[in-house]
Amino acid sequence: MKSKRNILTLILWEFEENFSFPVFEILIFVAVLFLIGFASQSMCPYRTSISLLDIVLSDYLEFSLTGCAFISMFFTGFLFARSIARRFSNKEMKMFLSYPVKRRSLLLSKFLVNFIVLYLLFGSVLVFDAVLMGFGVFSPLVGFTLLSLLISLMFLCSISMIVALLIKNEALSFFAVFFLIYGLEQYVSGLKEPYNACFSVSRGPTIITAYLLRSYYSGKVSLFSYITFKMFLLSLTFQISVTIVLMLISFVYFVYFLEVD
Amino acid sequence: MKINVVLRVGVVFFLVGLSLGIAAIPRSDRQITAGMTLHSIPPYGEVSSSFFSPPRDVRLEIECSHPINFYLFNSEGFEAYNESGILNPIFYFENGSRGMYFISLPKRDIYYMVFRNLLNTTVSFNITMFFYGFEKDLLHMSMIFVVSGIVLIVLGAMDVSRFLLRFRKELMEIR
Repeated sequence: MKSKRNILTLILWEFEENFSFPVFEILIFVAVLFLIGFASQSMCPYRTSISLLDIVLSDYLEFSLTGCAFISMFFTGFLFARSIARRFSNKEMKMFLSYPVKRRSLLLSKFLVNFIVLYLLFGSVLVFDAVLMGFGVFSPLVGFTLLSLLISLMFLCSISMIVALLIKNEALSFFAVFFLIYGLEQYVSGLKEPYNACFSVSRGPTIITAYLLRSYYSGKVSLFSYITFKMFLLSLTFQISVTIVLMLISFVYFVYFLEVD
Repeated sequence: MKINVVLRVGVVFFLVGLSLGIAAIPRSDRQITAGMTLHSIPPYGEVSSSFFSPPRDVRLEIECSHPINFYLFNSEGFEAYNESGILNPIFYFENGSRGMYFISLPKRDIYYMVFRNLLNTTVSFNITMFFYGFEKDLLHMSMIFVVSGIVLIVLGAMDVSRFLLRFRKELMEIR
């Protein structure tokens, strides 16, 4: 009970510190501007032909979900650099660790705050985008998109967290996340099919959502026919397993090995 | 930087409104052309088709082999037409065979086009729709957010809570 209250206090403190004015406001502005302004404008033609539904769904996944994965790469890099790496460079972390606070609670609160805020931000913008295209808030498209956003954001947050922990410098950490993910994308694009799509940060969520949508519409959506169950499973397992491994390494490193001088 | 909650919520509202307003510009820049070619209507029959659209301007080009009646309904109008045959379209022309029409769609909705053949012969038709202009509901939403944001910013800047406290104190003193 007490540890739960401790984590809650840490979460609130972290939220106040990391999303102080005008950071949160700028994030909202950029997310809405890019994800709504440059989103697809295909129109949901339900009650008409399935081929049109195909086009609209693929447009949504191509523009909105891939765009979201791209922007969230910058956002997670920036937020974790601010939340973790900066605390090392300005010696706040040293001060913090001198308090009777469990290290794992501290790292967990940092991860949770950044992840939850980003998920709410991108989730609400993606839902709004789907509504603008004529889909309902409770449509399968929205549900599957939110699910794959959850997985891909966890994946990006875990990468950003470990980079920030290892580098301990705000600017360097941000650029390192950017170049690391960009480099990974370049490397993955050179792999043979279907690994080039399944291991991609931007295409992975699209594959997961597209496969789930095709299963939901039970074969009526034909445009995603190239996505097999193997591709879906590969994308899903890759993102989830990398997230778990990186999180474990981050927590073990932060709790048992990290020395703050 | 520490600022009060009302002011902060105001800034968030203002920026959401601003970003929606700016986002409407690249969206308006994208013009969509949709069409149906060489469809046919049976003698004395009807053909209908639907599409979902934001409230944008539409240029409608129709070309038919013989005169027809054309009706464009919103979802409510089409429901009424289907259930009780009430004709309450947002746009229509009767006994026409070709033309170019400019329509402003009022809201984000599913629209239904109904083509009615008046003759005892099959009529073939081509229709092209060209969507252009701003999505008006996005602009309205942007305005609402901006205005409420400005109101909250002003209230926050005035620090209403402190003002109310002082007012209450003064009221107590008077009593």
